[in-house]
Amino acid sequence: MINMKRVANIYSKEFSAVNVLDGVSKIRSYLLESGNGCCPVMDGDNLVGVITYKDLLRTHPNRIVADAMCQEPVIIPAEMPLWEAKERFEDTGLDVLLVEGEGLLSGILSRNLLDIHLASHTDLLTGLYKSDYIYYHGVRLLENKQEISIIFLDLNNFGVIDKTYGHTVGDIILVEVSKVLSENIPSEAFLCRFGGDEFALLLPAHLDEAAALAYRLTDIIGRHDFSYGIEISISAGVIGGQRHEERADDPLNTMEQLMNIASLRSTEAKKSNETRLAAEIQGANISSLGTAKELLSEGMNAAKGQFTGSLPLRDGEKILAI
Amino acid sequence: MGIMKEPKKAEIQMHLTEFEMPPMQDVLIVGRNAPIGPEAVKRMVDVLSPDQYKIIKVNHPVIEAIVVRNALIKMIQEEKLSQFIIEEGERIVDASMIIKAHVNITVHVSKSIDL
Repeated sequence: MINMKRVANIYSKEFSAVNVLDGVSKIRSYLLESGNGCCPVMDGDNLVGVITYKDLLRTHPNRIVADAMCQEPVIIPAEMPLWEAKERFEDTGLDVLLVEGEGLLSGILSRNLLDIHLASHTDLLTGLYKSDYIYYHGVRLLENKQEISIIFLDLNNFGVIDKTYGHTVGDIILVEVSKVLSENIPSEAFLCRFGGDEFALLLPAHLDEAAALAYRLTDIIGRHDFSYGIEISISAGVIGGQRHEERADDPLNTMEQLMNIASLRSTEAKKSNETRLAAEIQGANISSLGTAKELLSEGMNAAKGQFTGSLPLRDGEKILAI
Repeated sequence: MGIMKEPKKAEIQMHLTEFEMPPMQDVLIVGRNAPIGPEAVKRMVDVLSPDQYKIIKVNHPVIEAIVVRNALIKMIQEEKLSQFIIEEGERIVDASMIIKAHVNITVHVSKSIDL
């Protein structure tokens, strides 16, 4: 079970509020002594703003807090996922968000604190985000009843490359693959390094579009000149669908199942020497999602006709429908 | 040789002028890095002369806000008055200054009537 990290897991619960008429130099000293980077500003019982150390540094020390603070604080729920909080920071340009829990102001989330936590969700080798990133966006799209597709990409025989050329060369190849993928995906797609030599791509698009992209990416990777003249190929598993109505179950579970199916498809594709893409044509209704095993068998027959007829293949290529 | 001690003297001067209520005239131009910001000015003015001044925050690299007597805004549209004040003010104001300005508005009216 994937556990999506939320603001509640990281925000600062210890904070002090300052008065709107306090002087800038007084609050600057207070923040310096307390080690806090910011605090909410109150006018009587009303929350009227937030002041950060950065605000204080760029303001004349004689001023009052009311003339240095951000007057339009943004309050977010403690249950908000970290990735959504990051989007909120980018949308607002703010350095601090206030956090509400059970109807009360319960803490502060600073941009720096969030970035520190999100850094653990970034793959240091490739610079791509880790799987948490895809899960968050997938859940968001499912909740908005948008069409989604997942492409699971798996490098073929990567273990052999590691053993033949060494792990350093393997790392160079992984970086190059991630770069090629990043450069060839649409702007609305979300790419992550899922694990070792696996990458996952989330698209707010129909399965047909994702399958076509998967073909294109496997083709591009196959044709690319990688370092040391190493030939690289990649297998892809694709799945897609859409929620048409409200459902009681957690969309994160649905995302987990979809990701699992896509990864199994890429494994199946990898097993065949002639095949590079395994896709499932499974209607578009995720509400009928069963177990991975059931879906794999249901989708097996449906996939054949559609892709063989509609997608261009190179000589010697063949599609495995599972 | 002895040291001559000169007697110490102090000179006191006092200038008396009437305290202005509030200590500003028609317009105050507040620089972005002035020691008193527009919120502080607003609170001061609200206490000393409630409902007589309006704070207009402006999007200008040097000027943060202008504080204008309401009576002037009644005579001339706020946008036109602000634009005039900023155009004239930006020539002499820098970010650390607060400038008070006296603004006179004279309205000339001419009408023809049937004899």
